[in-house]
Amino acid sequence: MKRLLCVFALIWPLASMGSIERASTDIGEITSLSRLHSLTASELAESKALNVSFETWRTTQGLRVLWHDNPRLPMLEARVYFDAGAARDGATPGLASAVNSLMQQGTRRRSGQEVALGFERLGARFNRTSHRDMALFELVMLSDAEIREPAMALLAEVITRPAFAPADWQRLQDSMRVGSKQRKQSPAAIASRLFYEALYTDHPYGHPPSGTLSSISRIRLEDIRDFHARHYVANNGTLVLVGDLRRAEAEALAEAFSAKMPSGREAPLIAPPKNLGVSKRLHQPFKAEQTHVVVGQLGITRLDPDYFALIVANEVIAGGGFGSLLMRELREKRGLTYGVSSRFSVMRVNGPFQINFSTRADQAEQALSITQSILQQLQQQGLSADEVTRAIDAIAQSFPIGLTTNSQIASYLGVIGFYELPATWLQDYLPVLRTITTEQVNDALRRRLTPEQLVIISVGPAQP
Amino acid sequence: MHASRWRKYAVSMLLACLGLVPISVVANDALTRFQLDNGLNVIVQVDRRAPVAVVQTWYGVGGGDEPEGMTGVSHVLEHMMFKGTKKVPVGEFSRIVARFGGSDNAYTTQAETVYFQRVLSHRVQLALELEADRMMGLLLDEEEFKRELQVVIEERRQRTDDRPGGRAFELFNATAHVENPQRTPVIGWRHDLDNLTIEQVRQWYAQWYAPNNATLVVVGDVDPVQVRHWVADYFALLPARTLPERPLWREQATLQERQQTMNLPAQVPALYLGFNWPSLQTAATPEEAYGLRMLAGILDGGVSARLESNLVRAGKAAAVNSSYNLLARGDTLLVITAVPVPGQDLNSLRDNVLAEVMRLRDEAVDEDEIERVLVNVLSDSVFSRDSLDQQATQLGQLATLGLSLDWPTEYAKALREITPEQVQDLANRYLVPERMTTLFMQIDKEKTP
Repeated sequence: MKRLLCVFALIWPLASMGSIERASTDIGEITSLSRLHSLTASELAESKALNVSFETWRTTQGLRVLWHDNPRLPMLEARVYFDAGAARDGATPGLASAVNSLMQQGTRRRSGQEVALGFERLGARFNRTSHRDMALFELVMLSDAEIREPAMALLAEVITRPAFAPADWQRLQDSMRVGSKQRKQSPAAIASRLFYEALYTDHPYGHPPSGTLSSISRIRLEDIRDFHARHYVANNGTLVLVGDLRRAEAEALAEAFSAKMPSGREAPLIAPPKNLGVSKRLHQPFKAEQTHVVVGQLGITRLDPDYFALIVANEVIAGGGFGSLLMRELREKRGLTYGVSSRFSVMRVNGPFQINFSTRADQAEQALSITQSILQQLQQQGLSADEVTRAIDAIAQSFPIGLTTNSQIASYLGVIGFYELPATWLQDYLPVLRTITTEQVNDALRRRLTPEQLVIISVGPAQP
Repeated sequence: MHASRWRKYAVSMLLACLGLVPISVVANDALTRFQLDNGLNVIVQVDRRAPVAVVQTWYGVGGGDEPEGMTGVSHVLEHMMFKGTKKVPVGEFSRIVARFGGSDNAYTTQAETVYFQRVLSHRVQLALELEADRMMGLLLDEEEFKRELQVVIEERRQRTDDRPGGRAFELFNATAHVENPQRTPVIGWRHDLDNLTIEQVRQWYAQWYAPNNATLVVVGDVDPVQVRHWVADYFALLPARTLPERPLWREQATLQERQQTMNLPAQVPALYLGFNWPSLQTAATPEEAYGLRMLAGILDGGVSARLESNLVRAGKAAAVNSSYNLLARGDTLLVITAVPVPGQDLNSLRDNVLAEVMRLRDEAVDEDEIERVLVNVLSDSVFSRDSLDQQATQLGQLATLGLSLDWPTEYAKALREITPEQVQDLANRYLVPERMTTLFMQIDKEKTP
């Protein structure tokens, strides 16, 4: 088999502005508003106030709890977060992910099959996953005490008493190897891995969370047991309970759930990543019709002073789906791509800001130069007051739509608990967003956007 | 409590919730259904948890309706639905929705084309006005069409041409269906897309987009009486059209076992197995379709089901997945996909999967397993009440198929009645070589990047 990873890493200054295709950053008015009958009719109707109240406390063992009572559905959603993501892998990429996956494969009292049957006989839906920052367990069940108590007890057993059997670990290693190969046949997955590697280098966010073929083979069961003992502890976790549950019931449930969880310690702080100070452009050859492109740089943290300003800017760039700047320039005007997105991944320390798209290989350079041109213009000229107002309106109005279901509410509470955000963060969100000015947005763009120092990854046929 | 008593308790609780859930959330007039004189079907489900709503518009046309040479036209038309009317010019539809806090998109399947908007509840009127406007008012400009066709071809590259799994599934699907028109890809064959003309798209739009071929679903914090007025305001003037006949899609009665091998530039080989099965619409009796759903659930309904526990946990496959859509339009497939463990060849993987599948013909299943499937189906149904999208999608699908909106309850009851003998009998009739298609996706080492 041919060597797979012949990455040509080149570091050079980006093309001068002269060769960059001009694209407009002015989206313009919506001309049809005056023709829509329903707008004149309901223009003044204000959205009903949104109130998602929650309470938070710690159990005796130290587990942080966030609870929201929703008596309208006889259901309960429980989520347990641990600061046990890939950022804690250390020298063995894939370790955190291996620990999290193995925890599903049985406890000291029950085989993996028995655990699965245990949740299923209660009609409870169990999921687990891990990311760079966090490891997460999710249980959706009926809120009835006869269901929720045994379901949560089984979840506690899974978390505190995993078997970590050698045979299961063998099998999981094989499965991780298959996964690793599957990612090598996906240009999007390759591009994402290279992007994090180039942007974060040796920072804990730099390596692939799912590990590499060689790192997977290096992980030993002792590493897994040790990682589990250190990270899956009460002081390093957050429990979110959303559903048909009163406060006293939530307290009792959380107390019983964490009773056998060692208190342990919070994971140490992760150092913020350093700016590269140069641009990096990498092309990975890949036989395909399209080239996948990732363009980006370091972004923000959840408590970043520029958080709101940049979230507003991102809504205009390509965070707002159809109608956003890049979507219009690349797809609607030129038919270059099926989709383009931009996002700030908000993480414990600065997550990335990235723009992703894929296009027919011979159009990749054109699409890339339009993207760069737009970032340049945004950094230098900023956005118009109208665009900022529209973006703030759109985010503010869409907020309730993202806070409707138990699942969505649990996600928000998870973020608040896991990142230790102020208890008022959710209720302050819209009022703070409303105070953001065009000057603040453009000032943040000027200071934080670095179009001269981007990481640009392309995966596809040879560059023209 | 003993394990099986736990399960019985869970079943009784879930069944109770299946009927009861809406009562705490909504008023007595929770579910309303009506039809305009022009044939537009309307379903309104009240759910007052938050000041938001979902508006979905379902059209009874999809990939399976397309004639030879015009594959992909339904999906291209779906893209063109965002490309301007006299009232709302190109590029403005989604911006208007977003301007007022909403989001929107659409998708096309073999059987239907669905447009959805998630909006604040006081913008439901706007959502309805926008949908009514584009139901029959599209401009279908040729220049916009040419540009959008390039977007669709990029979409095809991204989803199919550059993905080994996408290419394999396309060929598998074209082999497993013979006479059934669902054999062609929804996104369209590449040559058909290259040859598609604006006239064909215009003709397709004129043929299928009409109130009498549409179902409107509104779920959320709305007043059904008010919604009824708005729907009348915006849709009542649209004329009904004479629609083409749409027979149920059927497969040949006498099939032969089929097999294909593909060599693709990939890293991981894969196995695709299919069995030609009827859906609820085409099964000889509804009981037979429910029995097949049970059979599929016993194989793969969660991590304790047979494929996962006897193959993956036993190291006989790295991954196995299966799907069977009871609510497909016309005849359909049970599809099983599997990935070998490192070093395992695809033939031995197929032997393992088939051994597990064929055991259902030789041995009766446990009552216990039947109940486990029931718990899974019930909890899916109950938990989907958490999502407005899922509620709307389920209602839209039931209405499009002509089923009662109370079908989930009927379904749960029917599953409870199924016996191990029925499951075994169905296995012996439907898990047979004549109904089977195999596709081996092998790695082409020469071409692997």
